[in-house]
Amino acid sequence: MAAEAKPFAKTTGKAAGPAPPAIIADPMNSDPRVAEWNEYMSIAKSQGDFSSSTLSRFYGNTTTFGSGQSQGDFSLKTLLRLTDAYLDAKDAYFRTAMEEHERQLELFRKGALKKEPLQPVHDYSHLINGFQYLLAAHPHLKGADALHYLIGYALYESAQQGEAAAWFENVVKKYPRSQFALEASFRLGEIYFETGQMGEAAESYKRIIVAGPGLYHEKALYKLGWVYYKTENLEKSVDAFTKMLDMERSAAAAWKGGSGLAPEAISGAVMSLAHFKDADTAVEFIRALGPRDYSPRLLALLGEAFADAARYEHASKAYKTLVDMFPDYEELPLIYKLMASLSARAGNIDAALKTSAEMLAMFNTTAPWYKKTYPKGAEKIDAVVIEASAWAFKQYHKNGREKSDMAALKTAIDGYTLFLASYPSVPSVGEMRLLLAEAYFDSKMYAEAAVEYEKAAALGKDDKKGEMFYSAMLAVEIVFYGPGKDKQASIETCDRILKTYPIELAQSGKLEKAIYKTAEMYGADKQFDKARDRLSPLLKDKKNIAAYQKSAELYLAEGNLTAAAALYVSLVENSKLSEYKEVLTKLRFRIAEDSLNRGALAEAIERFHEAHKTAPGSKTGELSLARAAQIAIRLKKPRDIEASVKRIVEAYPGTEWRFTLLAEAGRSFEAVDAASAGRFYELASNAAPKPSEAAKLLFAAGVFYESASLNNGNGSDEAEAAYKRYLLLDNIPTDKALEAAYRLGSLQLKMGKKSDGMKTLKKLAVADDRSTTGRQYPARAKLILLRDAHNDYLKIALTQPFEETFERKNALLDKLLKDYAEIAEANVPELLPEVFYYMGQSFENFKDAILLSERPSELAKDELEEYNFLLEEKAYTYDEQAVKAYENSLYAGRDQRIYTESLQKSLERLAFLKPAIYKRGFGEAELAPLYIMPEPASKAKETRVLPDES
Amino acid sequence: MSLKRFIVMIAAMAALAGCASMRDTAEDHERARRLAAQIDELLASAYTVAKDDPESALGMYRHIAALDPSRWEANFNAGLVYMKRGDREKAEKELYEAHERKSPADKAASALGLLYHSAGKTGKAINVLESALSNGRTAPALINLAYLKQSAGKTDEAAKLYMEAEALDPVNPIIHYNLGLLFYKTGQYEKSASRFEKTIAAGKKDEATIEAHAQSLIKLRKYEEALAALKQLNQLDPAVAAPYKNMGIIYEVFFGDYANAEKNYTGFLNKSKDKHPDVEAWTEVVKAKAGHATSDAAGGAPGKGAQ
Repeated sequence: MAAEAKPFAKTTGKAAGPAPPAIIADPMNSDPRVAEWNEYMSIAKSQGDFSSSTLSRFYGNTTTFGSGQSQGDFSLKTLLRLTDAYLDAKDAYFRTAMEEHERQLELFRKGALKKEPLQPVHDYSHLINGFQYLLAAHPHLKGADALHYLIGYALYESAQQGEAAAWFENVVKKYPRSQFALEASFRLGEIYFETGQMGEAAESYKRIIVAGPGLYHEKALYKLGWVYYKTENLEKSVDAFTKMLDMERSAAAAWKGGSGLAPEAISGAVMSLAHFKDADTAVEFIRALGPRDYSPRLLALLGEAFADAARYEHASKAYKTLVDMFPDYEELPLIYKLMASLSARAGNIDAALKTSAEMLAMFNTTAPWYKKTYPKGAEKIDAVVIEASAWAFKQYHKNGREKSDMAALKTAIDGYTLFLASYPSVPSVGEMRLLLAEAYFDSKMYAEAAVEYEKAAALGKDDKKGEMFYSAMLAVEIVFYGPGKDKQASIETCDRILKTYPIELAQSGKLEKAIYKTAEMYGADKQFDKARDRLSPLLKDKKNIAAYQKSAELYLAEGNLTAAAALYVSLVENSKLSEYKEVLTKLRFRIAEDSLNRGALAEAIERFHEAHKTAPGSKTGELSLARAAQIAIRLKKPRDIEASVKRIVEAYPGTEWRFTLLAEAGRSFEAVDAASAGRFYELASNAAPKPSEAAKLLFAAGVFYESASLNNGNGSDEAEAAYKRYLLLDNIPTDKALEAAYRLGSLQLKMGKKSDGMKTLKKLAVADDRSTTGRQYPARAKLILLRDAHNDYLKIALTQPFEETFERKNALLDKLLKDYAEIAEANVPELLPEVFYYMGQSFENFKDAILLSERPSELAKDELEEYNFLLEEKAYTYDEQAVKAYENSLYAGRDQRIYTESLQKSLERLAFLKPAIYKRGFGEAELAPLYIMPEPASKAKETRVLPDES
Repeated sequence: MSLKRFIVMIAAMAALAGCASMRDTAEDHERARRLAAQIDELLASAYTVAKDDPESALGMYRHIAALDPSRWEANFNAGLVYMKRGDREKAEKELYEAHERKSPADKAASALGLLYHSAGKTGKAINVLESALSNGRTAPALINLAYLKQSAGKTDEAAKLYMEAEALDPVNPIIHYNLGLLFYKTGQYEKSASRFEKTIAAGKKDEATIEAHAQSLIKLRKYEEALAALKQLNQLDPAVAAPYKNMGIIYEVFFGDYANAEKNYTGFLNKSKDKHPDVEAWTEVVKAKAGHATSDAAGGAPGKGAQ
């Protein structure tokens, strides 16, 4: 309490007059200030006169009293000065008593004292009594206002607020112009406020306010604000508080703890505003105040108050108003942070993110706001912006990645980029750069991602650098395999990273992968030498299966199958894994095929065998042997073919290739070597999976053996054996059986096995088959069987006795004709020309036989002429018959459009017998080969010149 | 190119050639290059001139040979001009010069071969070509040598040479044609027919080929196919008489189609410049046969073979 009315103080010297009355007993009497006051009061009371003449008479012409600053003449003024010192001493004593009390209390709490010490209280009874005496004795005393005030003060300090209030009221009412009036009013206001008498408190405070600026003016406004708050006059409350604040020199000074009440006034205003009926009203009230230094603080605290009360919308309103009204507010970033936090607490994460993101754009170190507000920088603001924006962009990033939201990812990228530009030296820059790289990666902007990964790696911790460099390579790899054309740039980037940071990559365990990646890219770009060069460090370890495999794959891609195979050999040896053996087998198979395609057949065979040896028992191995056999077939080497087939059968018993290859071999030889064709068909028939196939092939074997025997005499025995075997088979088609029998019989005859042939054909001749294809063979057999009889008939000459030989030959002729007629009746069109030809020949022969017959020796000349004439007449009939038969042959062939040799022979006979009708000669042009006459040297194209043009 | 311009050019080239020895190597090369280019141009011009004015062409060739004796083309072309003129002696001389100057086998040697062969010196022709082929075997040169061998009756050797040429140039129609004729002459009608089919497939579809093919088919008694070939032949040149006769025979004898037979015989007789009493007689026969056939169809068939 600032006791402006200073009490009196006694001088140090004692007065020479009669002894004053006994000093009033006071425990503090040892304090000279207390002693002096007590003495003065005692004198004043005992003398009943407060005038200085009285007091000087008491002290014997001493005109002053007190000491030090308290010293003064005998007057109220001096008394007040002494009272001031007295009160100081009392306060000091009280403080000491309080300290002792605390100590005692502590001892009591510890159990050192049994009894709880009593709390000291102020004892101003002497003062109160003394002053009351004086007032009573001198009611019109000048300066009595001070005494009233001091009494009130002493009563207030003695916790006698009611009594104190009365004395203060005295001051206010009786002495309105007193220097103590405003203080007394303030104290009255305090007493009424504490006792809940708000109306009286308000009056008291207003009294001070009305008096104008002064010591208690701000305090009164402040207290009035609280009075209005308690009486729910909220607007007046705010008004009082803001007026109080306006009285301060600057709100900033107040925030920094100047008078001490400004922060509380702001809090008071905020509390009142927070209790307005709605946030809009509160906000508008503040807005209506106009721009004040403390308005941003008001709005901020109001927002905070709303937020604490979970009135988030209202809080948001307050903050937004702040942002709107005070865009230059120096703590705007904090407000944004609060707004973002508010949104988050309200569950509106998107708004929180947006707000946080905006912070970076608005408050980064390069933003106009920042440069204007904090030209020398502001770490606190930076920290807030960094934290909020980092959170926001990480969220955008996370959302973008999880939901594949490209817009969110772009926001993250833009944010990270701005962050890095704004805060290049903060500790989190490495993290942010890595996040930027990952955001690019998630956005499929791989080229950019690669660049950022490298930058992040440069900033990263040692044990993480390698991973980031590797991530850069991964990103470059994606670019490489993408649609872009500049592959070389991508390769060079990967290569550079690999060469520059091998240690870092190794530390992260990524070196080997990086090598593979680079090698693969070179390989994909067909730079195989470089690819292998990159792999070479890994190949030093013979056990590095993957490296060898990769290198082999590169060779494969390059088309160097041989080198690839060599590597797979190593793989097989080192890994013992069957899969590599399989690959090697297939590779060797491909190499062999390559040789085959190039036409290097011998080399291909060797390589197919090598492929088989790599994995004998495998499917590829089997196919390899089959291919080798097929090459032998292509080369038309029968022994090699058989050897190859044998090889595959030994390696793969039960293989289907045996049959396939033998049949294929047979087909291949059909046009060039009938005997070999027959042999292979025979072998194929033994291997055929089905009896019907076996039968067909055996028959074919017979046919080709037969054909071979016709060409060069070899194969007859084989053909005969094949046909015989065929005829012993079950369930062969009837027509084929007949054909086989026919072929067998014919063959046997050609072989000179006449008896066997005849037997076969005789058996065939009586077979009865009406099928279109089969029925010809019995007829053919019959035709062959007639050959001997026919030839025998032709040889018979007509000798004497003529009638006898004539009858005999005629009988044979009849028999022949009958037999031929029978064959003709079988209606085998292709046989008819031959049958009729033989018939014609038989007739013609008979005619010739007649004309050439032996003449009777005893005939005379004219008889001989007559005899000859008769013979000619007889012969003419047979001539006619022969012509008919030959014509039938011609017609039969003509009808069927079958122009056999027999028909040709018939035609020749007709041309002889009936030249006018049948002798025709095709014109044959004399055609000469061509010579290529060269053109003159200036022309490129050659021309042909016929010999007669030269 | 006119003769006047040619003379001016030759003079310029002569001047260039004379100066060449006085300059350094780089300029020599340039000059030689230009000379070669101008000779090429001269050759082309001479070829054009040769058709209408062979004498001038010969003059050009002589000058070219004088300018650059290493160029065999001048002698070769001159040889061809002489051949065309019928001057064998000079042709032989020029062609031999070209041959000596290492002209390709299918150039001077081939021309010489033809020259010798047409003079009845087939053996000499064969020698020249065999000698030229020792420097490089080309399909045209092999064909020509085979031709000579074939003409000399050495059919097996000829066949081998044709096969060798075929390996170098599988779709050359002349190889197939010549081989077809070789097989035909040796009675291998299946092979000859196959070769003529290949000739046609290779693009030589002229009368000679079709006729040869038809003849092979007739030999094989494949009269339907032969008839088709003869019809093709007839379409190529309906004015030629020979196909009609053969078609007539096929119709009459092998098809029994007397009407078409008569038509073709008549066609033959009409197209033919000479008299053919045999074919005239055949025509009467088919007319009679046709009449018989009609009456047979109308009122009963007296059996085949009735005359």
